[in-house]
Amino acid sequence: MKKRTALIIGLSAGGISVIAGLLATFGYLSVMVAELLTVIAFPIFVIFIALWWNAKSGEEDIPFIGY
Amino acid sequence: MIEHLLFATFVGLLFHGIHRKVIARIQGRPGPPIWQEILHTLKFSFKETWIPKTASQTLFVAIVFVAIAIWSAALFVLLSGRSLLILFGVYLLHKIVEHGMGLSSGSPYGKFGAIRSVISAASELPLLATVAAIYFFTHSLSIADIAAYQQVHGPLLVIAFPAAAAMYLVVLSKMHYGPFSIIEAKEIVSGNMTEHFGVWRAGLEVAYALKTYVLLYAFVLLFIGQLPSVLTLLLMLLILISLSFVCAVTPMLSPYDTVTIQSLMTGALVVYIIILGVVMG
Repeated sequence: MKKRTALIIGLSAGGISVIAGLLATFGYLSVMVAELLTVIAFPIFVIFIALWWNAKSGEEDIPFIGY
Repeated sequence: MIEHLLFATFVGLLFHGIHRKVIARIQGRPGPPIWQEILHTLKFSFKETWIPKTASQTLFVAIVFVAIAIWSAALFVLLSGRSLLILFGVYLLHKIVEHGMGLSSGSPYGKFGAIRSVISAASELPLLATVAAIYFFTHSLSIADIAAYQQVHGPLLVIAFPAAAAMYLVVLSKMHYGPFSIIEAKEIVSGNMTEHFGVWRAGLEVAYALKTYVLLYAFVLLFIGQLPSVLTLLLMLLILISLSFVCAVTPMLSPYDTVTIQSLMTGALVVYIIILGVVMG
């Protein structure tokens, strides 16, 4: 997976969670549905954001490949 | 919504750090700073991440997502005052997560941890008895109803002390470095978590932080009642420190002794419920 893809997925999941929370606050979405969306989106947000900042940018040294 | 989860994760990790600090101070060691577990989680998230060749790839990764999701759901159940049975269900799912985590890695240490997680399923018995004892008094399994009952009749900690003691044992069973932490004992490296490193371990740390927060919050909500947020957090901290004290002075039990103690506690609570049934009709 590319670094950029991980960021897009992570931010999308975070965005879904925030939007679901806002919609529930203003009464446009049932609280239970918003909670369900957040329960699904939060793990994706956590893992993919971590995968994004964990991923190399592709400009590293050539790895040591042994003698 | 997500702000609750981020807050609970942060506080849960801080609680883990305080837990380690208190244990260290009681044992006469300086111990790590209290924010150590937050740094620990960040450190793991930067570490090289891969999936072992011997692992069941899908389960190895999926289990991390499931671990975070179930404790996120548990937090929402508490916040919205839904049924205690859902919380019990999450606790059961966590057992499957612990088991799956160990088995998915393919490592013998992970598998030992997974097997021990099955043995330690006895920790669910005191929780089941606690749920029954709470229902006996409140005639409801809705967390909102239980909190309302306590506003009228006083804390269940006083009214149903044996049930509170059983729940305390349940929370203790899930604490790191405790007498019941057999699934992550050092003689099996890190038990079921041995092969989960890098981002996967960071995810698990987030899930465990949520778990600690949820269990402590549940204890306060079920046995003391609905209180202002700051007071609730303070009580959660006090309960955590008492648990840390127990963990600091108690050696890790053998797997079979953990089952014996948890079964004895459940037996005592069943006797208590029967006596209540006879006395109160």
